[in-house]
Amino acid sequence: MMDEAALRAIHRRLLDGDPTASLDLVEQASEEIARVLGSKYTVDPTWIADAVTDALFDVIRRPESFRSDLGSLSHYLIMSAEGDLKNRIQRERKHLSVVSLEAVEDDASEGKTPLADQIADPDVDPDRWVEEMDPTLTKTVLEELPDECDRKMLQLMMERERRTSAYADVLGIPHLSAEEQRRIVKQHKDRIRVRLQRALKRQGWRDGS
Amino acid sequence: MDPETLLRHAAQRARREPTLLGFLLAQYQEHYGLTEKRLAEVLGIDELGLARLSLCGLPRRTSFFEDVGAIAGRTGVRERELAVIIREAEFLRNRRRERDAWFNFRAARRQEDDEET
Repeated sequence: MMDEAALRAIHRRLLDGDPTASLDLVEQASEEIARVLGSKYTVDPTWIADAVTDALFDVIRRPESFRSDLGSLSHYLIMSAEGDLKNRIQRERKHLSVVSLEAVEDDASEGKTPLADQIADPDVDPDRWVEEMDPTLTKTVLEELPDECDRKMLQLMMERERRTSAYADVLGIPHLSAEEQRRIVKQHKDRIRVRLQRALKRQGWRDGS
Repeated sequence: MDPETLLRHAAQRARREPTLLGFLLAQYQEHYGLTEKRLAEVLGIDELGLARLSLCGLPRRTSFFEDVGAIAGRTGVRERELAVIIREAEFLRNRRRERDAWFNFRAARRQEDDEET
């Protein structure tokens, strides 16, 4: 349980602009918020860490967004982090269902999209097909990625960056173990691959030309 | 997830959060090509200390040295070095803003000229 009185004191310091209050908030609250989310959702731990950080940074950025007369700060932070996490889970689910629907439609159609299929093939090295794409095409798909982090990752892939550490820096996970970094980086590359596949299909790219 | 991992994760995110010191430190690091380890050494702390420092807010203009002192007291960083680095990082950030504003102005002028011709 978080010490509500201590959190309130930190919140007052945030309102006053005390520069050490943000560190205190992270140190006081992050573990408990992560514990609550972890007990409710079985997801990638980085998703939980992201949700926790987002909730804390929101209050750090705009401390006035929390009104102390309407409830406890600990509850507010947990609700905020849980909301972020639920949104992310929904986004990913929606995304996966769209992708699988597109795959079914493709199977039923006569015209195949070899490049898009190749991108969807999990056995294909996700870096290789990006490197081999037509540069004009990669520029187009780069514009399709709304997330800055995804764009940076794709840029690294296009630049033939092979080091996991470079991707880990972009994802903000250099502190994790090498094995964990590899797993998460691969997960993100796979996700980018699926997004690109959708973008390519939407734009009617065929035969990789 | 243990508290240290969460703290380091938040510190990495602080590098993209302009309201936190992590943002200024990241720009300083990038400008001089410093590794986190080297920056931590300059500041007299270890990498976990640098992560904690990154999560502090920016010192207020009205109480700059007092705030730097408070941050140093809380994180163990060398006070004088931190003050110098923050001032320099702010200078670099302002210079970058001015340069961006100038480029934007030039681009807008070029566009206006193109439209007129």
